[in-house]
Amino acid sequence: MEVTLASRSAFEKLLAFLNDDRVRAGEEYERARRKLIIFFEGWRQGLLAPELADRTLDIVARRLEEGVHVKTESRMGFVLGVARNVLRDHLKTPKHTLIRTDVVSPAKKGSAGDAQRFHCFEHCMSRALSDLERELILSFYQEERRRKIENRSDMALRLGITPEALRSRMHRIRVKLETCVGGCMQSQRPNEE
Amino acid sequence: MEPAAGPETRHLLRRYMLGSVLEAERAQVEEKLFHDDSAFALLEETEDELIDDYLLGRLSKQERRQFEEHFLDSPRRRERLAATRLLLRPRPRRSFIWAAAASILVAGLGLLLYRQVELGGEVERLTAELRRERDALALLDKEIAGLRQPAAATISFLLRSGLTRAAARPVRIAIPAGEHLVQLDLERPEAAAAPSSFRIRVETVDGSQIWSQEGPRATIPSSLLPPNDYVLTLLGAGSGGVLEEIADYSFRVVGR
Repeated sequence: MEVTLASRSAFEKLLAFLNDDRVRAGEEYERARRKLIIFFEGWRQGLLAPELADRTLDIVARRLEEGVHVKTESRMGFVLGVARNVLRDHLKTPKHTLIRTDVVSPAKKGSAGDAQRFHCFEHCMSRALSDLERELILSFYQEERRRKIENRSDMALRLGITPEALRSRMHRIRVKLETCVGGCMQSQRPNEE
Repeated sequence: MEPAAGPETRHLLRRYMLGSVLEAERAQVEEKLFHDDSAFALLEETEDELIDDYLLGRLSKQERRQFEEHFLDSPRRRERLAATRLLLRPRPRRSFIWAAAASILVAGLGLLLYRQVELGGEVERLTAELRRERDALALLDKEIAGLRQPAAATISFLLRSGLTRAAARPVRIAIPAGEHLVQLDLERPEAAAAPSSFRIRVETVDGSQIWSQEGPRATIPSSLLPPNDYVLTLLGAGSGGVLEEIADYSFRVVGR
């Protein structure tokens, strides 16, 4: 798939469109991208989801540069609309019909990347997480593994927070860890041209 | 869609993730996903829960099939699954780790202390042994040095019998400098019966005994014979075993 990058000015317009504050705009951009990936994954386009998400944001940026006016309250609706169009165009291409992008056995172990992942995981556990975060996520999952029943309410009670807050906190830690692991694995992968 | 954290919403989001929603429901979730950040956060957390539930065997058979066929149709989610599997693998508990570390530390310190004491004793033993070895070596050195020295020269003199202490002029014996053995051969007076054994005694003129030995001749270290006048008495034992004076020999050691 050919993805044409929007110009710098178009990208600046996109950021301003997402939020007036530049720092918040960067966060909004990342969030919008994650939303788009999940959207495309929902349509079984998991393999190309990141690429389709980037293409969507690229088109939004171009449209904004072209002068399209979008009301603030409708901006994410606009992004969703573009995403649906991108999906439709993508699905029109015969080779990108609604078929599974690949078939894997989720329980398969011992693949070539396992050792690398393990290394990156341990590296990120010690480097990317704070002591508290590491302690929290480890105790959470070790407890989960031992009891094999719903553990979140008990743990939330012990920590003095709501189960929702615990879920949210665990998610943030996981994202932090997984982002580090992903970057680590990418950096150790030979160049794929 | 009902409030974000409601059980119905959770159930819908789980079905959306598992690809088991109707078209209308999918559109509904998509709208909520893009317009409501809290709903999106809930969706992300639902994704976490589905991965956990799959790995912990909490999914129904149908959910498990949908999870594998639909949910995991994404490299990103498969990576998340792999990372969570690592989180769930058995790990030593932190308390166990600390306990183990403490045990190792205590054992290590104990061993260190023991080794130190043991080494202290060992050092003491080795020092004593070394000292003994040095002494033995010094002794050997001395012996070797002694052996290397040329054997002391023996200087012989003949003392004639029949010379009495009072009348006779003593034989002058000049002993060269250094350590020597002075051998004094004796000219014995003829006797009716030869003694079966002899003894020699050497005294200064004032009667101090300086030497005594068995045999018919005397071999005396020169160091025992500083310049002076001496009297050598030859004694003989007959068949009865009683020592009797046979003869006296006077001699003078002169300066070196």
